[in-house]
Amino acid sequence: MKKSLLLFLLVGVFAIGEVWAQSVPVHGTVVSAVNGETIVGASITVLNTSKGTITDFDGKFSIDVQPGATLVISYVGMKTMEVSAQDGMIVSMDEDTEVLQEVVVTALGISRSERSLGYAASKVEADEVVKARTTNVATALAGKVAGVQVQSTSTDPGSVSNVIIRGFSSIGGSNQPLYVIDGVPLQSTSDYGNGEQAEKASAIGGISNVSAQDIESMTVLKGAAATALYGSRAANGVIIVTTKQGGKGQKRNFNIEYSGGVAFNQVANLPKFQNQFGQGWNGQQTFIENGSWGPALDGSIQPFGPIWNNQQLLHKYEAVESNVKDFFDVGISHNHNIAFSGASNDNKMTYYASYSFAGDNGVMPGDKDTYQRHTFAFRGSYEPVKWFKVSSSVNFARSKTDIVDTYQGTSVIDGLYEFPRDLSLVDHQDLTSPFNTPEAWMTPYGITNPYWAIANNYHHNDGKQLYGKLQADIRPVKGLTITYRFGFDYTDADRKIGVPQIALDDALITDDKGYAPSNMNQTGSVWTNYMRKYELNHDILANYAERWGAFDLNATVGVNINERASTSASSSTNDLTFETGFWDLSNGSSKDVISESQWKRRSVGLFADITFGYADQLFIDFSMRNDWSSTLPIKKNSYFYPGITASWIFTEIIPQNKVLSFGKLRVAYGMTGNDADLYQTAPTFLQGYANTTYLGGDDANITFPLSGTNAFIRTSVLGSSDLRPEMTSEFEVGTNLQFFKGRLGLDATYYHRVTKDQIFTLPVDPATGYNYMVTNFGKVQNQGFELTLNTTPVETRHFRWDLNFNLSRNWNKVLELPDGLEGGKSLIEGFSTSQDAVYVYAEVGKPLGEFYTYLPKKTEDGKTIVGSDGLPVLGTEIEDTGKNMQAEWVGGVTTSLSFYGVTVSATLDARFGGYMFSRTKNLMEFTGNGYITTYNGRNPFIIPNSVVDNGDGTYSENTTPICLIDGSYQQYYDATGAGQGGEFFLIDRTFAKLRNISLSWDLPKKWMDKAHFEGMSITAYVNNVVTWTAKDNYYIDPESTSYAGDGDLAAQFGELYSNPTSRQYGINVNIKF
Amino acid sequence: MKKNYIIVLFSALVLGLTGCKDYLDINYDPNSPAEENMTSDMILPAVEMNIAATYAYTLNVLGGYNVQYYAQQFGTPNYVEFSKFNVSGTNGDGVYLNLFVRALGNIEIARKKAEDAGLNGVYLQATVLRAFTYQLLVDAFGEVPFSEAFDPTNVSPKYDDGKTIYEALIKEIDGALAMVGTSESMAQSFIFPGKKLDDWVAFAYAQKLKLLSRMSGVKDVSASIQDIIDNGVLPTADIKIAGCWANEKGQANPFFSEEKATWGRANHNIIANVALVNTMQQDAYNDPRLAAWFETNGSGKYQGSISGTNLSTVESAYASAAYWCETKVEYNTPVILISLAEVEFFLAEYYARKSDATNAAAHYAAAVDASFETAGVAGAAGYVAKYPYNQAKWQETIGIAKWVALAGVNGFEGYTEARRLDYPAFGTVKGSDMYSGSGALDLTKYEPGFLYTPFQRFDQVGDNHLLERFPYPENSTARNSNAPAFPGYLTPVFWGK
Repeated sequence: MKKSLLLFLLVGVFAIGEVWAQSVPVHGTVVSAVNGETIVGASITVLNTSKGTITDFDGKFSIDVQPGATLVISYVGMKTMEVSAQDGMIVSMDEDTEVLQEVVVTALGISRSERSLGYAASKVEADEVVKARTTNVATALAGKVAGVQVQSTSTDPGSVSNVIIRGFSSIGGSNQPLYVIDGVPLQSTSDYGNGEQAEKASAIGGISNVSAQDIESMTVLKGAAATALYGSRAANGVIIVTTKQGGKGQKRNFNIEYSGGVAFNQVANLPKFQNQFGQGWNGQQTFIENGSWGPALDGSIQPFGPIWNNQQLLHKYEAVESNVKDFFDVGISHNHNIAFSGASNDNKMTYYASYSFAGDNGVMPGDKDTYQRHTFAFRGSYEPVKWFKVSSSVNFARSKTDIVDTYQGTSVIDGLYEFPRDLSLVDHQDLTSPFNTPEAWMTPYGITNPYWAIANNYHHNDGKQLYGKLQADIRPVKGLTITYRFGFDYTDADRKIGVPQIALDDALITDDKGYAPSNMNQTGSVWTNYMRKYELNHDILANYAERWGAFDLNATVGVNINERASTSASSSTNDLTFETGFWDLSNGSSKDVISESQWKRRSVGLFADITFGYADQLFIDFSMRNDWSSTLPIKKNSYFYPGITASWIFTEIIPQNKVLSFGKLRVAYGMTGNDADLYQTAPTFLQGYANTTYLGGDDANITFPLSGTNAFIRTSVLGSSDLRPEMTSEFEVGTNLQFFKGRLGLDATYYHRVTKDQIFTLPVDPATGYNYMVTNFGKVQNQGFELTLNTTPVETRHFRWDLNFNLSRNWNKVLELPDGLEGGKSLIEGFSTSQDAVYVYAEVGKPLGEFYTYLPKKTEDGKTIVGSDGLPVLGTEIEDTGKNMQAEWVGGVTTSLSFYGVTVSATLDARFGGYMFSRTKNLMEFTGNGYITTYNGRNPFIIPNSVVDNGDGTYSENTTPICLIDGSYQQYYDATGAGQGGEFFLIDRTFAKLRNISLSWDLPKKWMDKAHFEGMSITAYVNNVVTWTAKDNYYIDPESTSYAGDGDLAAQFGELYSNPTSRQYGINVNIKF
Repeated sequence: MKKNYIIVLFSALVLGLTGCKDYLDINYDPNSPAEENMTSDMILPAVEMNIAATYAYTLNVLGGYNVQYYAQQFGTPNYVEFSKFNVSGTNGDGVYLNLFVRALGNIEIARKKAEDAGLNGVYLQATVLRAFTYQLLVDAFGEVPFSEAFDPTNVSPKYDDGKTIYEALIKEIDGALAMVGTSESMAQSFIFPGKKLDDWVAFAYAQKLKLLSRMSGVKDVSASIQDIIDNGVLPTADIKIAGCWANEKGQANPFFSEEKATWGRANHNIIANVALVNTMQQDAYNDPRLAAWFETNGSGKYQGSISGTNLSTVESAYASAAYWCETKVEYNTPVILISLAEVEFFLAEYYARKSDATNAAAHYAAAVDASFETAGVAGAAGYVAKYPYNQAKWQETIGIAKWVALAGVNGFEGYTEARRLDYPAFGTVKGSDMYSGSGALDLTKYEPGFLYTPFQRFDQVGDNHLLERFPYPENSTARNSNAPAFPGYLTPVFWGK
């Protein structure tokens, strides 16, 4: 079946032929009946043929037709007309007042007219997706859809995007939407490193492998009523991707389109450094420190770094202001896309084939931060008879990513941010000099030359993905369509991380000045992981649509059978024979990790959806679904959830007027059930290990087998044999209004969503014998509104200005948590190093993600209590900072101006409210490199308004100054967070980002005709143009996140050594042949 | 015809797939053995290693800093708070988690399985390991959940006081000892690879002696100890995990792995404290055990640093790692759970309390002897001659000798015994007398045989005090609504009252 279908489609590709009968040229002009102005770009096709053209800048067209042919003339916003062809004709088009006839692809690939929908569905068209010029199309949604928060996590090549629709609902599980491409769910596949060597997420499969050029539109379904039919995984919303299908071209029955371009990436958003003080510690100049706590810079000639083989380097003790910035280079990215599509002359067969390449090179020197993706897409359909149609989509994507990791120690970023302000980095590129390698690097304190780090650390992913569908539709009787769809997504990944050996013997170091370079010796390691996973979906649907007079009915019933499975194996070795560069498991003297993991899950769903319509103005829809999931306890694995929506186009009953052209009210209520994660219903055992847990790292772990003995221990998570599915219920009400014949459109929605019975691995007192317990608990509420305003303030014959706004406000609140938790809160994520500790909790009565930390002690009247050393005393219990990680407002503005084929467009988005933890800020103060560390010019000072606790309930005035020389100035930053405790490491996440500006020019049609092109456009653009941050954030791009490996809610916690983000300048060309 | 055929095919597919009930019964983790197939033999070796890792690394480091065996290496920050006698609620999390979940939680499974299978020897093994582990928890935190622990239906188990737990543990050991016959089949073990019952019986008595002795200041336990002497069997060698270590990641002594190993981070944080070094080298007497426990510095000398600082990086002779002495732990250094010296010191203390100076002195000498033996050096007699047993000042004699001896065994046990015996005592010199925060150190001011207030000290412990207990761990207090309020850093554990 599959084979013959393929054959059919291939034959179709080569069977393109055109036979023209005797024809005569017809010239004409198209004008608007409203103002008499000519219409540019109106489409002229010859009825029942594939022939067509469009009007030029003067509204004129010319087409060869057979005598007596009928022309079909269409233009957006105008009523389509059929007129018979006459040379010299003037066609006058009426405006179409029936706006919002747009068709939206909803659940299960069913197309519905937007007017009948009782819920919010936001569509983003192909040109909007392409215009964003992002390699990962999920990022293209940023700022475009109300209620959708897109966080790009990083601009490193191959980074993933977090997409959150209508706020966070799930505390323990995923909050990401389900991506459905042409009716087939995609798996999401990312790489989070091996737990030691990465703090960020890189894309391997899923939506990141879809080329923007292949996309026809993306539709965001937000509410439970809209998404219920997709079952469990749709609880966080669904993003439906509709791809381009084959169709006839304007002059031929095929199209060839090329687009491609080049872009330049430049570093942006570096922390603000100080330039007054140089290398040293506690105000003293030391030559091997990793930071700038030394004396004021004076321009004198000074040695620095160790004495190696009786040599020492000299430099001028003065600020090298751009030393970090100079490290980065301009990365060059390019992309090429070519698509070939068409339809057979009898329209029975369509095909679309494309190839895309995206090659991104980030701002790190050289090619160690790159992402390369090849995608091949093939789609076809064949409809041999009216009642039967087969269609297929087969996509293959291959990605290769080289990642510059961001961990502590010998990473590039730690080497950069701990580098003293008075030294130049670009002078240290020669890695044959021992002064530029760990052997005699300017500091032995665990960090190293970033050039060496980039050359010697290795993290590479190869991903392959094959996804698509085979579908058959039969229409046995009028109105009834039965569809069988087989969807598949197979992804595999080869991941490898190499850590170089450092083996220094210090022999040539004269006086190690306190700390020998060999302290940072490491044996090196190679870690590999091979993973493959698949998802299979069988959908069988029956759709019946019928109309009786003013009534119409659209009903769908179906069954979905889903299976997902994964296999992966990890191995590692250490104590390398070749110190670096040979990243193979044979390069080690141990095999210290050999592990494998398999899982499989299945679900079966039965569903029905029935819409009743009356007179095209009133629609009521009922949907229901029952799922059976393998991950729930076998006897309680069934759950049911219904939805109901209604919409009323009230403008149908009011007189036609020039102001309000369209108005709809809608209301919806729906539920979505979500099953459990794998294997949470029974106790499980692991191969034995022992964890020392203190200083981070699990290097000191003991692992089994040990000395020839194997053993097991029970996992620290207690499963539950009576888990119930999570249930999300949501009510929404909204309106769509169109004014002035579509010049002004408003879409407003209020929603109220409650997710209860959350399946959560609840931290419990280890005295229970477990560290976590899987249980149903907790209720989280999200409510808010979404506003979208689309305007066209100016529209004339040659000029059009569109200005669109969207804004959403979400109130998130934890309603219930189990009683056993002290203070009713549960840990989401945290960061701690000895006394620096910041945690975020889910806490009753607050939005998810309340920040807690150690805060300075204050007297009742608000004075700072200091110790005998003059430093603030921190409390011994963590306290609520009153700061939360949730955003309050999220919004965006898009605009475009078009004139004479030139379009200028821009996208801006903003986020207001919420805080994040920043390790970069922490590093800036710890090393003394940050601008923040120059308070009072680093001169001694007494903490204002501070007192000493006399121990008897009284306080006396503090007279002890904080000064550099005894270390207390530095301690003030390092141990007491500049007097703010751990709160110091929280920064305001508010930002406004001019994400994209582009200038695009559609070359005049006349020129194209000479060149035998159908069209050509050139676009110049800048991405990530400028980011306005909160005034206290001069450290990082507030979109940066780490911790993605712990879940998307945990990822909101903040960033850990994130690489700086970059700005992109590019130029693209698009040619239609 | 063709149309109908396809419809029938679809219908069959729908019915066929929904009819399969077994289709969904797949939620069994293929990566985990089933609980019913597990035996105690497969669990106890992992339990032992979890105890070893926490005791020999985490607790050893926490204790070693808090009792001035260790000081923080110049320029490195990691443990500097411990050296100020400051331990936070989160610092105890790892200890609490590992001991409760990975050690005790799995011991519960092994005990139950041994009981069900009638394996009395294995039951004794599990009971002894449970007592050893629970004692560590009490000694660290004072009170922990006991009577309501290990019940997943109760997420807020109440804390029991330390004395109740101690007494219950003794009862459990007695019960397990009463069950064993003359020979029993034993489970796999790293402590006693020979799988001999007698070894475990001796461990059980030694553990009971340790529990009783620890209580001896607050309860009259002499009859029970006398009963052990009369009717029990005590070990004749250190109870330790040795011989299984390899110089490979995941296979080495955990203290070595963290501090010294070339894989991973190799922290090199820990250096000798002036209190220990100068106490072991005074009045022209050089304790030979020092050479077994610490490396010499770059100049071939033993040089201890001071608590409460990681020293200024201002360049001077002191601002140099080479000036200080790191520990001598090796990949295969045994993890000692109960040393023979400890057993002998407990016996010496028992006789001392009975004012039986002869027996006390004999066990004191035996203890020193055992300590030298463990260190692998000769010269025990010289030490005893230099520091003879003194019945009039038995707490001081035993306290200081034991403090020194435990420096080579386990920092946490040394810290615990110093808290209980109140020796070594605090002298008159403070850390701030020896160091000004920059420049040179004047270590000659240190008074041998005394502890001293760290240079920077944790305010809530203050001058001339040891930290008497660790705060309740945050992974309990944040999750357990029945966790009591912290009684304070200076409130002793019940045996210290």
